[in-house]
Amino acid sequence: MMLGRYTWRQLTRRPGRTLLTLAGIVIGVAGVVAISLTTNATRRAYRSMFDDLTGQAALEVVAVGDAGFAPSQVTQIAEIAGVKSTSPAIQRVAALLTAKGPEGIMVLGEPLASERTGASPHEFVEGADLSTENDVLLVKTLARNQKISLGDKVKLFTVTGATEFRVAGLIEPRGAANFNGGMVAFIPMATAQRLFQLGDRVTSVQIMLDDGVSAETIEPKIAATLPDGLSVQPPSTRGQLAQQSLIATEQGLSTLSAVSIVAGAFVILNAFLMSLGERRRQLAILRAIGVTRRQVTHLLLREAVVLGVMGMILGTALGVVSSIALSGQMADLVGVSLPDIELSWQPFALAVAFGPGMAVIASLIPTIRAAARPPLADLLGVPTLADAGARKVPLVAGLVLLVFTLTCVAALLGGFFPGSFVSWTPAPLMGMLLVSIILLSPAAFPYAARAVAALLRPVWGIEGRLAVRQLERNSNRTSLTGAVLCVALVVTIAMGQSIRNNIGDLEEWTKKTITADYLVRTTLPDLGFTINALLPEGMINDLKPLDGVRSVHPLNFFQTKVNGRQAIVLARAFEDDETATLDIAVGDRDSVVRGLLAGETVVGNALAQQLDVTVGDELEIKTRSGLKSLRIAGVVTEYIVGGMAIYIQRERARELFGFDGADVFMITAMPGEVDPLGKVLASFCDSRGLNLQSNAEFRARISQMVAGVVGFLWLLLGLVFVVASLGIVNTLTMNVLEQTREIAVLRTVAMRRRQIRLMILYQAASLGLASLAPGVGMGLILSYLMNLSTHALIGQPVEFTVSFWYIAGCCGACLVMALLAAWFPARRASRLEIIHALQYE
Amino acid sequence: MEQSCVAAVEMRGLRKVFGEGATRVEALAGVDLDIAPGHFVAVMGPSGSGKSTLLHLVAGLDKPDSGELRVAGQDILKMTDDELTLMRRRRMGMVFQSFNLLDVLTAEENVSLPLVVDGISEAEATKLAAAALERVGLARRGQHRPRQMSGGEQQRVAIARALAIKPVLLLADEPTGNLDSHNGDQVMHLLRELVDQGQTILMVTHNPAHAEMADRIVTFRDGSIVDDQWPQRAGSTATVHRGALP
Repeated sequence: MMLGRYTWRQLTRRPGRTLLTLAGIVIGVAGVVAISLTTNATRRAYRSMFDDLTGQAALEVVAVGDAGFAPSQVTQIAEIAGVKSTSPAIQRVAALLTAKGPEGIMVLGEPLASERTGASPHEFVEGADLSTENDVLLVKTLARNQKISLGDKVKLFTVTGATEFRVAGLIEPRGAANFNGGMVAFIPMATAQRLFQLGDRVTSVQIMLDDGVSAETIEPKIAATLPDGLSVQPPSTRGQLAQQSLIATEQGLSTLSAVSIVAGAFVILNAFLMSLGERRRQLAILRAIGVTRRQVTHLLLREAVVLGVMGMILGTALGVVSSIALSGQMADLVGVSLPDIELSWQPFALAVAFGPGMAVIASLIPTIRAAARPPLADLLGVPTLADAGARKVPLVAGLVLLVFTLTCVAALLGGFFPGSFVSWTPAPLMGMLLVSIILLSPAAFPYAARAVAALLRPVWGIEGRLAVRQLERNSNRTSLTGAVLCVALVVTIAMGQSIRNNIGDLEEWTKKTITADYLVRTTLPDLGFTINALLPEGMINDLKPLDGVRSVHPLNFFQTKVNGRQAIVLARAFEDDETATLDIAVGDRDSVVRGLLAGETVVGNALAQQLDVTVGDELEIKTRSGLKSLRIAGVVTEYIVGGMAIYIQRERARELFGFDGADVFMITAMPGEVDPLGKVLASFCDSRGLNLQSNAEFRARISQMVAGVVGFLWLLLGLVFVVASLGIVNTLTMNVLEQTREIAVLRTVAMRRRQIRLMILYQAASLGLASLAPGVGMGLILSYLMNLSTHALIGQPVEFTVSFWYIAGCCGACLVMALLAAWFPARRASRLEIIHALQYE
Repeated sequence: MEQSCVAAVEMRGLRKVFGEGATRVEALAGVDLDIAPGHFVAVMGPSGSGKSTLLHLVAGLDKPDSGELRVAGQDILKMTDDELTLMRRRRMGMVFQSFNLLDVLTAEENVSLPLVVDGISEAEATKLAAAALERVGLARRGQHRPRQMSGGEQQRVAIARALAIKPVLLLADEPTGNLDSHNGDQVMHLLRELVDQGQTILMVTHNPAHAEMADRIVTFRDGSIVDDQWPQRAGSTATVHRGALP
């Protein structure tokens, strides 16, 4: 207990220092917890989405494209040993026409109550089961949000147009009704077939297995019995592409997690080094009265653990709250409802590892070294050789780590790592690179500080010269503080550049690929393009005659397997310059277009990298009539579903996949008619309950989706800077304390308060200025490496550009933060009572 | 007073050198000295004479370059760092010129710290600490922090900390160096009382008046003993004893 009191009082003795250390831990833990919870929720959303929809079905048979298939084609499945039962299903997306506009909704076909062989699977809140062909069952949450009551009329928009239904019942969001946050409607099976022009076809056959039978073993047996154009898969496969497209986002968040952990650990290390440096005498007293080295180490590590636990608790709380906000942004990004944050054990295990764990690891070496110091020297206040030698260790370690990391990066880029490593190695590599920069910064900083002092000597007066002397007086502390500022600058420049380059690339792609003036569709699709409803094919004939329309081109997208991988097919026209808008990465434009018109395909960069294919290679694509080979005419930059996409000329795609209707109509206006056409189209869409988006609105929407997640990243970077400035407050406060008598002497010999303040501000300015060159240099290197790693990860190069104004802004922010951090210590220094200060020891 | 046959401290040919080449200083030039139990030995000499170095070696805070050194019969030159630390904790009490109390702890906590660290229960340690503070006349100041005490009181707390462990030997390095004359005298009278109760004390001091309160005054110059006096003291029960033990 007494040692516990000692620990607690030691921590509260220097509240600023303790707060600084705590802030480092909180930032690290909060970042990790928030990102972990959010990515878990996002993955669960897609993983469980289709499992909810299909209930107990372990597998399902689906057709390629949107044409559906006759259930009679798969009756043989029921005879296979291990299959308990099969059930035909219709699951298609329609648009629910609401007062706020069309909303994507999954429509499921069900038997009428009179046709059921057993009880209804639904739990009714109000009303009853489907009894007539125009009845619909809605989930109570959806009904509440849209202010729909039992008995109301609602409209569903499909390829056959808008159809009115009566709300026959409101049900609990259980089982299939839980899909995408309750965005589900149940209508009679026959009505569904009519609405989606399926005839007697269905969209899938659900397969229930006997107890103890695994899906993996029975899947190939079922596949062997299927005709061309049909495939068997776990229901969650439909969400795989969306998960794939999130990889880059998740990787960016993971990288930021790693960065926040490393930055936090460095702040802790810094604070501990300063603290232990100032407590040398105290530790020597303990050793002199009989406390062994091990006991001193335990005592100091106990402080780290206490701080770590406190930081873990605060960081976890902040992380959970942040994850709710971040989830909202992610939901906006992916376009589906995310489940509630699940407080599983993993994020908290991470919190324990990165809270107390990080605090102990960061403080371990300084603690062991402090405990091992011979007590006599510190009792007498004599410097030892160990002080000088100790600086070499981090320098050597930093160089070794830097060489190792750069070697790994080169290996990654050279393709020497197995494919499974590519997705997760960039984050730890960036972390290691940052650690090496951190280890090298204190060694590099004194040179930068001297250079700044030499440059500014002609311009600043006695206050500046005294400021530099004071910084040199405690070079360890100065180097550590400058290094923290340097690292904050490195992180901000590297992450910020990366974010800007990626957004710039996305904007460039959008500009090149989506050139139509307007997009007409039922609803906005989700990130994985799993929830999108078709427009009637014939609508093109209604759109073309509208005033101001120059051209109308339909676009379709649907999932299939390409060389065994789930990918999305983008089917559109490429007849002319207006339509052949692609961000070509490999191949020349003429041959790419020629190839597409000849029935070849163009593949997204990420998919090309994963399949290791390029122009001239053949892709094996699953179509309704089996596997077909298509030659690759070109490789393009593609952001849809993370680049896991192929383009095919629309008519050729219709031959291969058999679809009817369009997902989007892309409309180009006559010259000078863009705005008037907008008004005409608005009226057209309003009357039909369709979604209209101008090109500017489309780009703004993309920016908005990205901005939410990116905003979180900027916030985290901002916090890193704030923590760095806390370090400066700490250092300058300590400097002022040490200079108390000297400041009193200066005041006595007629230096004014203003000059004293200036002296302290010059210290802060020196720290800030000395951080700029190494910070910018190392930040740009890290940024370039991050850019190269992005290529390895997502399969497409992102142009590396350096924004002068962004770098200048970061440098300006660094200096401003340093000066703001100096305000309080400067004020305190200028207000010292001279007489008391002269007696200060 | 009865005396043990084993010397509290025995040193033979103790040598310690600092620095190299032009900065080489022979702090101790082959010192022979025995300190009997129950004696109060004051070590005097000008700055740089080796007296503080001698104290540091006896405390195990530094190692000699050659010679022999035994404390309470144990050869401390063969001890590891941990063994030396335990030696200081259990058998030696240390009092410093600048008191060296931990200012985050109360007086009672400072005194009980070595006991708690040694594994004694806090309740027991508190009892022993209270007794030690009583002995130095600070029973009522146990809950005060060092910054709430005068220099003399702080030094008495430091003495109580040294006494709490019931040391074989109490080492005092300029214990009155930072005190005014009144407080300095108070501390010296306390040390004298402890010796009269059987405590062995080795003290380094600059103050001749305070050295006179010891049983024996050993004077150093340039690393060697140049004088070894046994001043007669009224009421002293210490046996006059010169040189090595029989």
